[in-house]
Amino acid sequence: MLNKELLVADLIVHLLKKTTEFNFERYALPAIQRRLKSYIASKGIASTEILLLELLKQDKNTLKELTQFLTVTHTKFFRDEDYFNLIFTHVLPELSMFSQIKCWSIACSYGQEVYSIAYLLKAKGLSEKSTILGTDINQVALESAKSGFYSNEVLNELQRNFKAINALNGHSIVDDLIVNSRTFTFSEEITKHCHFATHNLITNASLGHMHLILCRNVLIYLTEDEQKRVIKDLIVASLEPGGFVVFGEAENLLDFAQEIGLEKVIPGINIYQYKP
Amino acid sequence: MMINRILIGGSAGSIKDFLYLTKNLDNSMLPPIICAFHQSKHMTLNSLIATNCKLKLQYVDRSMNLEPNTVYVSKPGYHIIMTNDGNSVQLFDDEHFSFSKPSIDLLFYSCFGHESISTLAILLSGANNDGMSGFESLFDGGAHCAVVAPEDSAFNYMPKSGLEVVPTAKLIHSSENLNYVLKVLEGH
Repeated sequence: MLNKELLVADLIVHLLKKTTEFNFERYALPAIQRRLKSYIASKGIASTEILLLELLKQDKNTLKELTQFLTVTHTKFFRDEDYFNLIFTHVLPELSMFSQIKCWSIACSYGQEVYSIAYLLKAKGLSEKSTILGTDINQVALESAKSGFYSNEVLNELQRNFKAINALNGHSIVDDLIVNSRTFTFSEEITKHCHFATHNLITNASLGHMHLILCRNVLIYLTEDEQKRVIKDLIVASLEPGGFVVFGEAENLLDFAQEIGLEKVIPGINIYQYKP
Repeated sequence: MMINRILIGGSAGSIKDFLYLTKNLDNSMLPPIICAFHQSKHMTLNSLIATNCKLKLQYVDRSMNLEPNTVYVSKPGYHIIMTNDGNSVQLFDDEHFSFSKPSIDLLFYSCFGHESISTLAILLSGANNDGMSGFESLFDGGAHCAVVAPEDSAFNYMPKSGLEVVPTAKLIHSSENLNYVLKVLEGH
């Protein structure tokens, strides 16, 4: 029996691939289907079949809006405590030797990682010489990230993840949070160092002279050859010697890392230092 | 009848079932095995599997082409899905699906299509509903479906639920390994 909804979702993915720069073929189709349902509900469209017919008209605004809606934006504040522990105890002390610290969060989505790193830099007393750039192809997420406001629904998760970082024992994030009735944001001491811009890691060039690059849970969608190209031509090309790159928990570069001068800081954590 | 891939989903108690399935394997070639196990973050499958079977264990960390005699698993906290018409596997980092991550439903759904017919889907022990709709979809698409016998499983809710959505699913007992299951299916 044909699962019609999955088929329509699949057709929409094909259509978006042909008419936009977004390729969702490596997303799980039921996840796309779920987002499509949510999208048509928000727009008052009766079914995904009708949405498909609308998309065939190739209205640029609709295509743009839908692609932003479908993009994975899943992320958390202080995600993976082991990584934030190591960044705080090892990476930032090494980076403190530089006269300035430029950080780049690739595919930053709604900016949670950017503000998390900004907090670590402040806690280490390095804010004033630091800049953190968050980039993504999702402009809706970027606009939200720029605003710096988040729903109070994620406040508990933020505080739970924060407390799990042993290296931050004795530090408090409370003074850097401005909590309103429904939303919260960060103090200006944090936000003034955070910047956001559009960037497509597949088609755009490297940025250069970065001291810390975070590229977590992006490489999992790429083949080995694609991974190597992105790491070599985008990430390593953007790193200062002595700088660090952080990959996701599931992203292990194996032997390739050494070939291009990336040395793992400690076993089991995918944080590498660039030693050309 | 040719089975080109085996998809396995399991939750609480499923590692024990998996060990039964992969015990005493003969030297015949097994198709790639892709697993979505609900595991705790600190649990590693390496030692469990390495001591018990001769299959290669591969943690997925990129889009990978499937190889025979290899078990593909995700790190805890990532979805694992099939791509490229069921010939490769990759991770997917998104919200929970069916309240789970990895989600068995997502893995099963990702193989829905013309590749379903050359797929064997197996449900192991578990105490929740993740995987049921994907299991049913795969069966509707022509996949071979099996569950561990509920009386042999530590938590029988998942295999029992699997039997409710696919009543003709083959029952696998703890004395039967994957070689045996494939031989029985090929006999049909």
